[in-house]
Amino acid sequence: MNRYRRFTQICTLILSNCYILSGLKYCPFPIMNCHACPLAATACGIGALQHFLTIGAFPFLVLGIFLLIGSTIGRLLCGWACPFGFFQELLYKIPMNKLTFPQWTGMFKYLIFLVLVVLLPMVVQEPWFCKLCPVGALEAGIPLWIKDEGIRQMIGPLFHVKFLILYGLIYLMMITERPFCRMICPAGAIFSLFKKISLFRVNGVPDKCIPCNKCTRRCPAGVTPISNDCVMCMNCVGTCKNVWAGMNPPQRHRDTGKSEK
Amino acid sequence: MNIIKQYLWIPLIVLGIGFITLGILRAEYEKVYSNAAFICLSCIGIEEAY
Repeated sequence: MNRYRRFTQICTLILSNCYILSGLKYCPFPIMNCHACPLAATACGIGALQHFLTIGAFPFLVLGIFLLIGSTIGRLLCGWACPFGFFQELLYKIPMNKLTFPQWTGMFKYLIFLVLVVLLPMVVQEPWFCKLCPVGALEAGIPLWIKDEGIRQMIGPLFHVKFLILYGLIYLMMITERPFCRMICPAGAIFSLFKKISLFRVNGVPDKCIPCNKCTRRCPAGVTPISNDCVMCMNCVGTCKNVWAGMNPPQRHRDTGKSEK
Repeated sequence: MNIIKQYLWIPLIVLGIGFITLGILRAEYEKVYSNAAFICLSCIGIEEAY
């Protein structure tokens, strides 16, 4: 399963940064891939959402895409397609002392979504998440800083703040599993709302769970499949009979009537 | 309650398709493109953009 996932992650990384397909920028894509990257082929869903909120228009197209994808496959794109998620998984492979953050830190992403993606763009008409986004620093800031003399001359304090966030996050990526997805990602915050209601789901049976941590050890985000932070990678599906992936819980779990919280 | 939760994806998909259709009719894709096609100074971290 992990091999297929790697393959789709690499394909998405190439396709979303394949300049010849830049006509796809008409479509907001709900994965973290900055559209200011010189090679980007798709528009960032979160960037587009903020753009509509800054101009005071209701984002029908962007919300429609988030609703359609969220209600069909939930957070599957996070685990199988997001280039920044892939980057985090690669960095976590660097041998270092590893750390696990408490589950409640996952609530930060909802706060970040509300304040930086929705409220501030509406009130001050500036895309504040984009201004601080570490994905933009990595994919757009670095290449354009190298390439463009004009950009280098315009650099101010915000650029350094953005890079400080990126450096801090890169360190976190090396010591803990997918910290951006769990604590910061606004797209993940939207998709995690569909965790228990999407058509295709990965979930577990809370009542039958003995905390053996077999699933968390296989998880690239270091969480259980019951958690809202689950990125639906499906690595845990074969490891425990209480974990299932599909449209409905298997019959043996439905019989108990307690298949999901 | 469980039944509602189990089939909530159906109205949500319909709503999503409705929103996408409305967005296309309102030519929102052009606004998305115009925002994404040019160098976004906010994304790079340059304040003078606004």
